[in-house]
Formats: sequence, C-alpha cells, structure tokens
Amino acid sequence: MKDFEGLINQVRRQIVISVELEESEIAQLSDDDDLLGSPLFLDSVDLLQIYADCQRKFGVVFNNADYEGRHTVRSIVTRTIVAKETKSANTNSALFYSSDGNRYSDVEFKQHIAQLITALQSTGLDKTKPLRVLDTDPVKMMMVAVAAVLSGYKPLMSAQPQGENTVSFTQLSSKQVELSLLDSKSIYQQLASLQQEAVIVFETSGSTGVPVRIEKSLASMVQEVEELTTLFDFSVLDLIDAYVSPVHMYGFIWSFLLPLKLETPVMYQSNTLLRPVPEAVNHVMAVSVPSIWRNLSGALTAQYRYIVNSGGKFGEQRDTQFAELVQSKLPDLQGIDVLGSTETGAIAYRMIGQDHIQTYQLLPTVSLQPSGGEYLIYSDFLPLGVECAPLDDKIEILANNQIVHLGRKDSVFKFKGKRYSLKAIEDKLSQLFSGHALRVYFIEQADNVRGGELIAFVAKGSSHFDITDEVRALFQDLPIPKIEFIDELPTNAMGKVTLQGLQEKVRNARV
Amino acid sequence: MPECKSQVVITGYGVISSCGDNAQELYNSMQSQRSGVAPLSCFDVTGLPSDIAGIVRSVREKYQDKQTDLPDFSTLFAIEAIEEALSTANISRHTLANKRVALCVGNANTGMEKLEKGIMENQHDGLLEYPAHKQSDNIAKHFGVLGPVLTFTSACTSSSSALGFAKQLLDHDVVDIVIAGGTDALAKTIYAGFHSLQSVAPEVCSPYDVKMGLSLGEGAGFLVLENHKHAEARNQPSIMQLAGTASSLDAYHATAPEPQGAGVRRSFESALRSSDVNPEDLDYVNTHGTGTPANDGAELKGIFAALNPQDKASIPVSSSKSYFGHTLGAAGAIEFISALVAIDNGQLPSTLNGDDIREDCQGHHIVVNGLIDHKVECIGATNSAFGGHNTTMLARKSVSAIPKAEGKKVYILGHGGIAEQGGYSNGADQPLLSYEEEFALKPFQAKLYRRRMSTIGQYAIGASYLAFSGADVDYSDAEKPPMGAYFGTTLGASQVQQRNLSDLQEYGPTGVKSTLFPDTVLNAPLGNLALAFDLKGCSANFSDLGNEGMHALWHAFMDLSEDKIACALVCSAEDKSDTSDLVWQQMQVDERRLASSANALVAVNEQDPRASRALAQVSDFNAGRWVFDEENLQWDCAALTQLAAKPDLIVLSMVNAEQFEAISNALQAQFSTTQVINGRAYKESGIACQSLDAISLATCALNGRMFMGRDVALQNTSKPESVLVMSVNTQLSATTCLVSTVKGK
Repeated sequence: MKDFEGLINQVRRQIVISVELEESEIAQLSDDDDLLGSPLFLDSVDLLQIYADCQRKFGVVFNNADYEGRHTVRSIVTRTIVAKETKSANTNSALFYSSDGNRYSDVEFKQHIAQLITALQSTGLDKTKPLRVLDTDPVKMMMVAVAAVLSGYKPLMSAQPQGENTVSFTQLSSKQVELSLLDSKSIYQQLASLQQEAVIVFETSGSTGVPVRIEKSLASMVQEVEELTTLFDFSVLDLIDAYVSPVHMYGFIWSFLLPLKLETPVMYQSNTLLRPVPEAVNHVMAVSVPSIWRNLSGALTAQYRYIVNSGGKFGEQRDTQFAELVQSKLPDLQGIDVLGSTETGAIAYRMIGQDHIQTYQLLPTVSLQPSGGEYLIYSDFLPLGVECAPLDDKIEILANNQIVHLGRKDSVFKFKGKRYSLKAIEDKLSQLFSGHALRVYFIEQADNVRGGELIAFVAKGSSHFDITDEVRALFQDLPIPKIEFIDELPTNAMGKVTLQGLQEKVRNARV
Repeated sequence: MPECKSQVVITGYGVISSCGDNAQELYNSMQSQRSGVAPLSCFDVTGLPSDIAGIVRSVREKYQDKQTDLPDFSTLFAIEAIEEALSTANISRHTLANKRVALCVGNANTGMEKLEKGIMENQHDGLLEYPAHKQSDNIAKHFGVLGPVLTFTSACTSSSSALGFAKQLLDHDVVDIVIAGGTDALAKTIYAGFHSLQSVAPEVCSPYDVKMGLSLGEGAGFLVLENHKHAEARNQPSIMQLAGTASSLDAYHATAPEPQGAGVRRSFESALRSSDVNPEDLDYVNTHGTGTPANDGAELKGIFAALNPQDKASIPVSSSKSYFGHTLGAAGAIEFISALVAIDNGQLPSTLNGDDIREDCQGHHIVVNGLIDHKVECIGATNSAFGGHNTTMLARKSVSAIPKAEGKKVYILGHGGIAEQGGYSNGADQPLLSYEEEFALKPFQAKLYRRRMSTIGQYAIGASYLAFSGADVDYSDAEKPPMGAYFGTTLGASQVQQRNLSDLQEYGPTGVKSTLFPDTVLNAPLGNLALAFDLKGCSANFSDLGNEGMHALWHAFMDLSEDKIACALVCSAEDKSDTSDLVWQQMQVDERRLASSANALVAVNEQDPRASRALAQVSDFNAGRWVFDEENLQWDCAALTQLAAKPDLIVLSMVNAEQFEAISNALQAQFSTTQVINGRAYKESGIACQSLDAISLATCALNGRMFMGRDVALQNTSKPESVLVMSVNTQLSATTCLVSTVKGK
C-alpha cells in the first residue's frame, strides 16, 4: 500500500514534467479524474508522452491494451505495477515475437490465455461445432486456440476469415474479466495432459476446391513433438525463426508446440516482410517451406543451425544449393526435410544436402504395411479415431526403415462412367504445351451427368484453345479437359499450388 | 478581357520511390504487388518497435559516401524525378530557358538529416542545406528555372498543394509551364517522431485493414503542367486535364483528423465546385489512406459525404501507400502519379495486404491485393496532413474548357504585427501591446492560448488577433463562411525543433516526444491559427528564405480572386533559437538582427461586404530570380517582365543587405522616376516576416499612416496611389505585387 501511494506521487510528478503542467493545475487533479477530461483536458499526444515517460522512469513496457480505456493517475499506477510484475520490461524474456511487432513473455502469454478462458465462459459459443479462430496474427491466434481447447472447444484453424461460430482475440479481450490465478503448469504441460478427445481442427484447401477439415488430437501432435525432440538435438536453439504460420498443422507443431516444449523463443515472420534475427542469438532454426528458399537462403547467417522444410518437395536444385551453402559458408547448418501431410502427420525425414532427394528415414513410431497393392500407414500421428490410413504416395521400402519416395500416386477419376488417370491427361497436355507448367483436376459434381468437370490450368500468357482434329487424335480415348490459361501457377503461403488458388486467379483475371 | 476558361493539362510526370527509380519501375512493382517498404539501414533506429520504411536505396547507396558535400537527398530525388517528367513531356533545357517557367515544390521534412548532423555532430556547413526552400532553390538552379519558385510546406499535403497552385498559376496566365510536385527524404527525427505517436505499423502498412499503422517512406514525384493550347502548339499529347483542385482546414486537432471527415468533405466539395466534374463522373478516388485508426474511416466519410452516391461501393477507392510508404511531403504527387501509371495501363492501383477491412471502412469498394482492370475517365485524389490540412485534386482524360468566375478584386482589410517588444495594428501610432524579451500570448489573450503552445504559434496568433482587430472582423462568429488561412515561415518552430533534437541526442530515437514532434512540422502554427480562430476554408503553407509571407498572400489572392473564399487570414512568423542562429550564420545572414516576430493581414474579395472599408487593393503578383546579365552588365528579374503598371513608389525589402544597392539601382533604372524605399529600414524584419512587413508598409504609405510607430518617409509624392512591393530572399529570388489605393472609396 505504501508502495502504491509512493507510485501515485511519482506518477503525478511525472505528469507535471511530461506535459509541462503548472503546479496549480496538477493540484486540481484527483487520482481518479479522467486525464482526458476535467480538470486537465489533456490531449491524446499528452497521454502518449506520459506513458512513454513512465515506461522509461519505471523500467516497464506497456502493452497496446494499456492505451485503451480510461486513463487516471490510479490506472497508470496499476498498469505500471502489473507491467512490473509480468516482467515485461525485460524484452529479452519474450517467448513469442509476433509478426505485428508485439512481444509476449511466457507469463504474459499465460496471463492472456487465463483471461481468454474466463472471457470464453460468457460467450455462449457452441462447443459441439468447430470454433473458427479469426485472428491472423500467429500469437493471438495461438492464445485463442489454446484458451479454446483448454475450455473444451474445438478450435478451427483456417485461412478463411468467415464462417459461423467464430471467435477472435479482440472480441474476447474486450470483455471485462477478473484476473484469475495462473495455473502453475506450463502451457505445454497443460496441453500435453489433455485427453485424446481434445482436438484442433485444421481446414485445408482441399484437392477438389472444397475446403477439407481434419481433426487432429492434441495428444497426437504432442506425441509428434516428443518424437522429434528425441531424434534431433534442439536443446541448443535459442530462437525459432518461423516462416510457417501455426494455422497449418505443420506450423502448429514446429512453430508453436515445439518452441513451447523447448521454452525457446519463436519469431513469426510475416508474409510481406522478412526480418533479420537479432544479433544476440547464436543458434537458430528456420521453419520453412520450399517456396521461400530463394529469399531465405540469401538471409542465412552463421547463427542458423537447422532449417526444417515440409509442405512440398525441396527438389534437386535447392538440395544442391543447400549442400554448396554448407560447404562454402555455413558448415554447422543442417537441413531436415519432413515427409507428411495434415492427414498423415509426419511420416519420414531426410537430411537435406546429405541424403538422396528421394530417400527418407521413417520416423521410429511410424510403420508402413502393404495392403492390396498400396501401403497403409500405422502411426500415432493420424487424425483422431483413425487407426491406419492409405498412403497417397508411391514408395519403395528399403532396408533400415528407409523408403524411396517416388511422388504422388496417380489419381483416378470417373468420367461418364469410365475410369481415367489424371496423369495420362497431364502427359497429353504436356505434349501440347511443352515447357509450360500445368495442373489437371477433376471436380466431382453430383448434378453433372459426366460425374464432374475436368479442368486444366496452364501457365501460359494469354492464349486460347481450339479442339482441332490434331488435339482429338492426341487425346484419342481420353476426355479433353476445359483449359484455363494463366500467367503463372499461384502458390499459397505453404508454397503449394491449390485448386482454390488457381480458381481464384482465373476469377481475378476476369474482373 | 481574358478568356475565363481553365484547360490545364498534365503532359509529363516522373517519380522515384522505394518502388523504383522511374514510373515504369513503379508500375512493375505495383503489378507484381511488391512493396518497397523493407528493413531500414540508412540510420539507427535502435529501441523503436519498428524498423521498416520505403527508402530510395538507389540514390542513397550511390551518394552515401559523398553526402556531406551534396545537397539533401530530397534535392537529389527531385532532380531524378523532374528529369523523367521533362523527358516524358518532351521539354528540353532550351525550352525551359525560353518559356515562362515556374517550379512548385512540396516538402515536409527536407533537410532534416542535414539539421541532425549539423546540430548533433557539429557539421555546421551542412546547415546551409537545411531550410525547406533551399531544396527548391537547388532544383531551380539545376534546371535553370528563372520564374516563380515556391515551396509548399503543409506537411503531407505539401505536394498536392503545389499541384493546386500550379494550376492557378496557369489559369491566371502567370507562366507557360509549371513543374510541380514534391520531394521528401526520411530522417531519424521524423521516423522517431511518428513512433512517439505510436503511428507506425510493424509490417508493411495496409490502409483500411484491421492491421493498423502507417509505413514511412521517401521519394519524389513531379508533373509537368501547361495550358492545353500551349501543349497543342508543340504537339504534345495531354495525359489528363487537372480539372479541379481545392483545400480546407479541419480546425480540430494538431494531428488527428476531424472524425466525420468534415474537412475532407469541404475540400472535395470545393474542388467539385471549381470544376465541371460531377460526382457521378468519378471512376476512382486515390485516397490519402495512411493506415492509422484515426485517418482512414474519417477520410472515407468525408469523401463520400461530398460525393453522396446512392451506393458507396460504386466508386472504387484505394490508397497507394502500401507500395512505397507514406512519403509525407511528396505523398500527394507520388500517389497521384501511381494512379496515372496504373490508369495508363487501363488499371487502378490497389492497397496491399488487405486481409480484413476494418469496421469503419466496410461497404466501400476498396481495391486490395492487386491492380484491377478498370476503364477510367475521371479520378479524384485526396490528401490530409498534420495541422488539419486537406487537399483534393480532380483529373480526367478528356479535356474541356472549364468556365472560370471572372477574377474578383482583392483587398487588404487590416494588418497587424508583433516585433521589437510591441504589437501594432493598421498603422497605429502607438503599440497596442508591449512585452520584454519574448511575447507571451497567455497574458494578452488567455482564451486563445493552449497548453505548451510553441513560441512561433503564440506570435502568429497574437499578430493575427491584431490583424482581425484592425480589420474589425469577428472571427468568433460561428455562422461565418469558411475563412481561408495562409501561412509563411522559414524554419517553423525552431525552438521546439531544438528541444526535439536535444531529446534525440540525449535519449536516442525513443526519447523523441509525442508532445513536441507535431509542433516541428512547418505548418503547425497554421494548425494553431485554425484552432484559435476556427478557420476552415482554403489554406496553404509556404516556406522561403524571405518571400514566404508574400507567397502566402499570393495564394490567398488566387483563392479570393477565384471566389473560393471571400475572406482570408494571411500570416507569417518565425522564432529565434540557437538552432536558427546557426542556420542563419551558415546563410551569411546577420542573425544578431533577427528576433522572434510575426505579422498578419486580413484580406477580402469584392464579394465581401466589408470590402467597402478596405485599406488597399492587391494585384499583379509575380516572382523571379535576379540574375546579372554578364553581356549587358545589368541585373534582370523575370518577375518584372509582365508588369504593365507604373508604380508611384517601390518598397524593396531584401535579406541580403550587400546586394540592396545593386538591386535598388536596377529597379531605379527600370522605373526612373519612382522612389525606391528600403522596407527593412523601418523594421528589422526577420527572414519570414520581411515580405508581409513590406506589404503592410506599402499599405501604410498609401493611407498616410505610420508603420511600426514610424513615419514613412516619401520624396516627391506625399500620398502614392500604387506601390510595387518587391521582397528578395537570401538567394536573390524576388516576389512582387502591386498594392494600390481602393478606387472609388
């Protein structure tokens, strides 16, 4: 109490100095008077200066939320005390560096989650349906997702901002809630102790253009993190440089759960701006996708120890570049290429620049069993309730739990009652449009007598396609797809070409 | 009688920004949705939460080692952009030399890096390049411009103001060609200042999106303007017609816009009135759209209140700032050019990174994440600035003859000044107020004083109060039509700037104060005037090295003459500090003679009923540089070539005392029987105040009144009927006007 009164006097003195008040003016101000109202009628720039000077004077850092609401001498003192207690002044203790520039310490992160959990209690949101998290900022997104899953909701992570049963950090933070005591267990421990039924729902773009939701149990993802930390020595890391948002399952595991488990700070990069890592850190891991390699490779310094890649083929050219980089400049750098998908979880890995680009090592707890000409995956990392799943890739099994990855299995579609191979269509188109990237999709349509629409996207500047006798002869017994010409095949944040992205590109080109 | 039609067209443009060194590179960036905003390395921003900006790397990297010997980067940016603009307009140096050419330059913070180094690193030589007008002078000399050179310093509306005045110069047939636009170079003080206001986004800004905050940038954008007939005569195609321009003041807050966008609405409505453009003609509006919480929603409200469409989504809008950041003094011109380059390609510019439109901007057709194909005939462009200043430009592809109102006569109704420990009004014999050392507004007019008001702001308000009193104008009348406000200052609030730099030096970038930074912009005193006297009409802010007061009056004259407003306050002011003393030392001005001072006058046009009691009429404004003709061994000045009247008296006021005799003799040679008097002999005017002081002196001479308590000594003529006032700045550029008695009074 004595400290509080002392701080009150110090804040009053600071206000006089910060906004150049006269003694007679501050004498009229009570500790509960709104600083923007009577008797001082300060200006917003005055308030900013008072907060800036208090930060410097008391060695604290205020959060954005501190600039909202009513401002009195008493509220500034309270905010100062809270800021001191959360040790937010020590920016080095930040665990999460958000892409919007904010930093959150472990304590702040927990504190926000505790507040969000309390706020969620009064929302009346449906626990039986997926709860769509609207935030795009990775840290706020994760705080809401964790609060939701700890409260018995099924948070839905999606790049789509709209839908029903939605929630956001701003929406929950605007609710006035009493601060509750923080759980003594770390957030990772709390998540790890959840029952198998606790799930995160990931919405992917889907191969037919319709978003697909996949429920992953937290237990399976925690299990995957545990396995990764036994395979690799991540204990040396003092920063994870995340280029993949936790809105994707790969990002959720590598950019969120893994840093939580390791208690290693994570810096989320934005799509628009690559920030260099702070000079003070010594051992960094980049969580990336192949499409950003060109930018990332130029920014790599001796601070980087690991680059993990997933979400697409790293490819021979990048693999060679990586090996050259290690040999010429960064001898301590290791690259991990992870094979897997949201549906399967991680299956296998290989060391970039060392192992052959098609040869992967199965994860210890994953096994592949042949079944009727294909392989079934048995793994702890599969979606909730799935014991085993067919592998969509073509592989060969080698000795020592190694596999050769031969690419995606050919998709077969049913058109006018007959089965065709997408690969066969692609091959024919490649002959027609030699040198141009292309993709072929079959979109099933219940009301289409043909069974759906066969559509191809060709990366070729403005052009048109006439079905000539020559084309008919080329396709012979194969259906001829509808062809859309676009200037390039767009990739999503994970560096993948998706049907959804292609269709959007076509729509935009027509506006 | 002159033809009362406006047909000002754009025939060329050039641009340099973080998105490229020319218009094609800018378009390429826009087409590939690439932002030039990236991590900063040109100055230290340690401790600030953001470290990104749109820097012109090409020029900075080319000249970084030679910077101490070169002008400010803003001059270098401008030269690059103007070269491109002249090239696209097919104007050679020879054409420039043989035409009546004006240069209108907008800037907000030019020279700041020179000031920082000059004060903080004792590189005093560089202070020569600090004043805003020095950049314009450098540019004019580089291109050999001998006509009017004007520097607009209304912060983020500077370059759009410059374009507006350029149109007026052509409409009034003062010149044949105007090179107009803006240039600005980012500096640590500015970067830190915007952080002190918590305005800077950690990522590339995304105006209208829920992600709040602005990105800062730098660069230059210039356009070539001429009358359509002039362009046709040289077979130069028009890019677009500049169909209407206007400005307004919010009179609301130093940094925040009026929340309903009332100032933006007034400006837009005024631009529509001054043109033949109808709201339904508009195909697109390029907005100021900074990304800050206060600006974007308010601006859209203002624009659409003026347009009042049935469906607010019917007119696409976007802000170009996510491409190259907020380029402050160059923003209006660069953004306008970004719209022109997109339109040239049949497209509209977009706002990048638009993921989620914020609540108060929803329902509009905001172009996001990529150029869209769109047929365009007519566009609008808006900008807003600290001090509550707003501008609007309207342009269209087809050229039409826009009817203009017949020029209204413009009169001086009253004038006042504060200097030399006294305050005078309308040539009174005795001072109306007195003070020791520095004038303080609070004891004089407490109601007009606001906490922490800068010294220059207090002088400006004090002098304006005296001018209003002299003119017997009730500024407090809430029903009055919007009154214009025009201000001139050389260095602005130099005392505040000095404290600002001191904080930067002592505490680093995080030490710059939100309470000081807004007062460091050169139009902050204009914002003070608007708030004190509720001035909401047309407006402009000028800086020069001696002629800014007359430039402010010139702009007021144009707006009054065109009947955009009926009454205007014109003010110039300066304060004295150690910093200003150092600058004047470098400019070889005897700083010991300079002191804080201000003067003001109230002007009306003939539509105002109070015109019947006017003190004098003003007309025939012009400007040009004095140059010594080595061949004929005589001094020439382009400002005098169009003057038809033979004045009874010449008031010559010039900072550069060494050249007074030469210029005076040159005037005497041209006007052999006319007495030339030295304006500065009556008052030790500062730099900023000398030209309006000369106008007041002329007004006193016409009315047989004293000036600053001193008799005006005249030979041969006891009461002149017309006085040519010539103010000459430190660079020997002159601005002239004719002050004459009111006929039939």
